[in-house]
Amino acid sequence: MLSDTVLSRDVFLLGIELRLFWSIAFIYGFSALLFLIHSVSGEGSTGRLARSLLSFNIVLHTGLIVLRTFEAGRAPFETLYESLSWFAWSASVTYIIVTRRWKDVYLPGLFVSSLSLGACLYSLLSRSPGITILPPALQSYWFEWHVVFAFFSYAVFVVSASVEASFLILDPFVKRGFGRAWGLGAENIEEFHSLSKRLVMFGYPFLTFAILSGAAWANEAWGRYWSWDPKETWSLVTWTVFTIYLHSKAIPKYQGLPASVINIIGFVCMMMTFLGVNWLAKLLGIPSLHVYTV
Amino acid sequence: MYIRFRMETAAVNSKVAKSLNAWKVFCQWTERKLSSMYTSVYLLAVMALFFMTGTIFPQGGEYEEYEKAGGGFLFIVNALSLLEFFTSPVFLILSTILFLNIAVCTWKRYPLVFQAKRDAGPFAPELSIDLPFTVSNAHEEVGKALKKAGFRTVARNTSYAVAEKGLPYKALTWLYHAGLIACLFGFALTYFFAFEGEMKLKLREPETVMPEETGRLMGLLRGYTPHSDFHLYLERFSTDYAESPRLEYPSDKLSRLAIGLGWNKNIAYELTENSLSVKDWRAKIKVVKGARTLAERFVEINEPLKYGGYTFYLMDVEQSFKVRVDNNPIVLETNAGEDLIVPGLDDPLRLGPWRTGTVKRLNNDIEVLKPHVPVTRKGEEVARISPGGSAFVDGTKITLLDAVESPVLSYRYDPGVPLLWAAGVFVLIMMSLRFFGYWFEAAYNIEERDGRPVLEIRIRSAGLIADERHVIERLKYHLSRQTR
Repeated sequence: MLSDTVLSRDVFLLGIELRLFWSIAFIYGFSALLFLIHSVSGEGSTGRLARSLLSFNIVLHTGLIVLRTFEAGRAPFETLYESLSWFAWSASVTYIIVTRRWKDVYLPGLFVSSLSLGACLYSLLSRSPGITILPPALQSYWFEWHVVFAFFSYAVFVVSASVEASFLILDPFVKRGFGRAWGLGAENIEEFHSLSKRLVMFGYPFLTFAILSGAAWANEAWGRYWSWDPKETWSLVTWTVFTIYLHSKAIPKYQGLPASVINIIGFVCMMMTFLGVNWLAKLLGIPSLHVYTV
Repeated sequence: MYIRFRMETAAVNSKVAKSLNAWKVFCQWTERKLSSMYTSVYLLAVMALFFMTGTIFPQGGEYEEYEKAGGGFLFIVNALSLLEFFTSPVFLILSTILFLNIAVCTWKRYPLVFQAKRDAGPFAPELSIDLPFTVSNAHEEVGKALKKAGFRTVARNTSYAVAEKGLPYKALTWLYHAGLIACLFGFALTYFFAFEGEMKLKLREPETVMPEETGRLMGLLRGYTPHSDFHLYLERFSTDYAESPRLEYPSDKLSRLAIGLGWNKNIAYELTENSLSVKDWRAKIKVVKGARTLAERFVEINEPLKYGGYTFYLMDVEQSFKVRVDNNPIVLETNAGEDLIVPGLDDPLRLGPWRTGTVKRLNNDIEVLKPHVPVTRKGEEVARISPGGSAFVDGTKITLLDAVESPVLSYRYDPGVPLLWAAGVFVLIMMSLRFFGYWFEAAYNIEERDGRPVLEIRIRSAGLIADERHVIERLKYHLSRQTR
């Protein structure tokens, strides 16, 4: 095959990919809108429609990720353009799987679909979709493991934070006896809330593995397992905050509102690790070894 | 005189006793504080703030440069060593306190976790199950049913018995905390003994490891320090490139949206002669001592060479060139990407990068590159020269006499790494078993009501896959099976 033929094929596939990706972003937006309407009106049918739409979008998004993998001939999370798409997909999948026991509670869906929409738009509007060659430092068997587990923990923490936020919003209504329209009552709100802790417990070992595998990889590539690079340090901040959260859940004085706030802070730190640290490093002119993620 | 002496001695003894008592009280207070989970939470919170602080200030930066760049809070930055924050006294003190907190917590909880006698706390049954047995054989039959449901009896007293099933979560929690202590020891070994340096290798020229500085407490390791009575010998070095087309894609948001909606088809990949990306660098390095080869390996990024306690990493590649201008006998030397002032030319030239090695084309063909060095002026290519060849720039003859690629290796000696990996893997396994596993505790007794036995039971659980409802169903199933 001639190089020109390969390039024509790649442009054709990229065109399809971009249209599909924009469609997916629109559907995330529409789903978020329906979740919002449900959150305001308490209409169950709107919530069900929003959830179904989100589930359908996950199928499309899975197709997009398969297409990207085929185009690039490697795992589809090397650049920030790709990892934002991966992040949106993994958060939505985790939400649908985790909340299948809570099919009448749609408020977390508003947070998850909004975040997925934000990630898709950021990727589409600010990043280049071009397929690039893996730099030598990324050619390691640690790469896939490190990134997959990090994003898996991120997805779980996103859903945990959305459950936590939903609890904080709905709890006062439930206490006044108005929670039914949003799928919660006095008898099940605590069980629903316990989901956020279980999710953090689920994601925490994955985050630990992501940090350890990152250190092992850095030890092979850069000759140091820890360089206090901003991205490394923020991952440690996230880990520390979730450690505080798990400990505070064991302390009666803190296991209520303080623990909920810590969980939300953990989510903010996680977003900081994923995206904010790039912005921070750029803003303050701090050199980062993770430049390829910018 | 004697009485006075006795009185003075008594006063001194009393003072000593008071100080000893105060010391004892202080020790007890410290131990109590250090074993408290509140302390852990506060320390971790401060630690998180410290970590954040370290990402705001450029670590490893020079204080003068920071000041020149207009950096603020100069006094605080200097006093707290914020540009070397992770090795500053403030950070090290907090790390030590956190280490002590984890160590004391783990130490104090050891007897509680591993004690032989189990106590399930005050017995408050949450469920009553009518038993289909006689009062006389109920105990035996319940024991059998629990055994079939996977429980093992761990304690029995006069009022109730305790049975357990699954992984002992308290022990697992204790073990991964102990693993964390070992990890911190690993960090400490790195902090005190690790050192590193860089060396540049030239083709077929032996180089020796000559660290400028060693670990902070290296003197303690006399006799166990790494040896450097060997040379590294670069036998071969090659670069593999891959063709990497550049995407022509609009940067403004509306055009991007138009592409997404199919209204704009202005998207293309551009492939030029310079569309090459480095795929891999490979250096064949031998470890030699005299005429003997002690080890050899292809070193690549992510594939270091380990020898003599050191690990050698391929970090970078430097390219240097020797050029002659016209027939001037003076040879000019320059590195890739650096300005070269050429007599007779108004603007400086830049040479490089030197392209040599193989290239993988888009259609998967692999070709050997014809070695050449591009010459640029103000970012525009003005000539291309092969080694030994010449080119004219504005009438000036530039001859490339020599082009050399030198891999830059970083080397590191770090005795903390093996302990850290072993402890890290241990922590991860124990933590995963604790969080993803299951554990149940059934505290129960059998009471007699209206002449029939009733099982009073309380089930507690831990772990993400622990499902109390399922366990109760299984227990009821086995109890019903016992009657058949």
